[in-house]
Amino acid sequence: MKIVVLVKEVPDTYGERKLDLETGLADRAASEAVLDEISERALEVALSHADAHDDVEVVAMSMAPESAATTIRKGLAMGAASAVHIADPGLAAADLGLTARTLAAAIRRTGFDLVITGNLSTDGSGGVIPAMLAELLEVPNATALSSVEISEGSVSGTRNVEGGTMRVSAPLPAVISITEALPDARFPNFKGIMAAKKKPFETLSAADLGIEPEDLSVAMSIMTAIAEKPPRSAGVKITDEGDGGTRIAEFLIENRLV
Amino acid sequence: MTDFPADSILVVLEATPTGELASSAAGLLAAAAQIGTPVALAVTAPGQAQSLAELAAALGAERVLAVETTSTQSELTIPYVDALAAAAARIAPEAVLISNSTDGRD
Repeated sequence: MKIVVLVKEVPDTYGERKLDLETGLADRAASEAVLDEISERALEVALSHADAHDDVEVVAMSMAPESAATTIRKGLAMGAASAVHIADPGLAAADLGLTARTLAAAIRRTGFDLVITGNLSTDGSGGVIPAMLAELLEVPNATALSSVEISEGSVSGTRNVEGGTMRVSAPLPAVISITEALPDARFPNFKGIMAAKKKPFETLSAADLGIEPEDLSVAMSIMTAIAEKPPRSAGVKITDEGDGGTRIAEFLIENRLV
Repeated sequence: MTDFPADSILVVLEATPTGELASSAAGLLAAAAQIGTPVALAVTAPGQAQSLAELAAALGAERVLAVETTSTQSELTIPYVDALAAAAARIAPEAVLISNSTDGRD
């Protein structure tokens, strides 16, 4: 079984995150780049299945600038057998549609039984790539799973939605996305880090995948305005002079928080 | 077939398994009303369309299109996408509003 896990390099959420106000692109120099935690959890789902079963191959895949190669290698150090990195300057401003088309082409090229992604990235928080991929790859999707069971020929899990919890399952091949309810990822150990240096690491361009980033026959989203996030204003301090409870209640009502 | 207003904004309603409207419905319909005529789409279990339509109307939907189907209980995403594609083709709305929820993103 071949499992493709999509991983993403993102600005560390602990640091300050910025967009370039001229281009609208993420300012990658403004903060430390890390492997998105939800990507690590997605990888952990695949790796723990590979640990317990023979003939499971885990491929880490990412569409990211060339500079992200080190971050993607962390996936190899954690235990993925190989990595595919789609790095192309022409894809720098890709919207969700172009990203999905490119990833789908790469996934088809690599081959897959199961694609595992995070439900939302911490930077873009679009959360629509898994469903887009399932549509493009013409396979079932099961998104936002808070538990996952992979078996020969099918994948199932639990899905929390408004007003209830679903049990879902899909025949393979399929695309799933997972939530933060799934376990933390393992740390790469020394052996893993050394082994990662010898693992296959493939770097592809858009042209390798038959993708034309400037294809204007496809609808795309265009950024029309961008502004810096206003600084957080100070909160309101309520000093209790016997009427503290009432004033808190009034504050909540005024701000429609109740 | 009735004509739909030229400034129709198609709002995809989400329902809970018990047939209530999801909490996002009020905000979506209010947002739609600010930019055009809110036309709501509900995909529901059999027998729930009428009550959902009334709830949506109370929140400002000018028209409600409803699909009653058992497939929402056995399939993810596809019944909603099919209904939305059919509704969008029929209404030709100026915009489609969907909740930023797990189902909405799908």
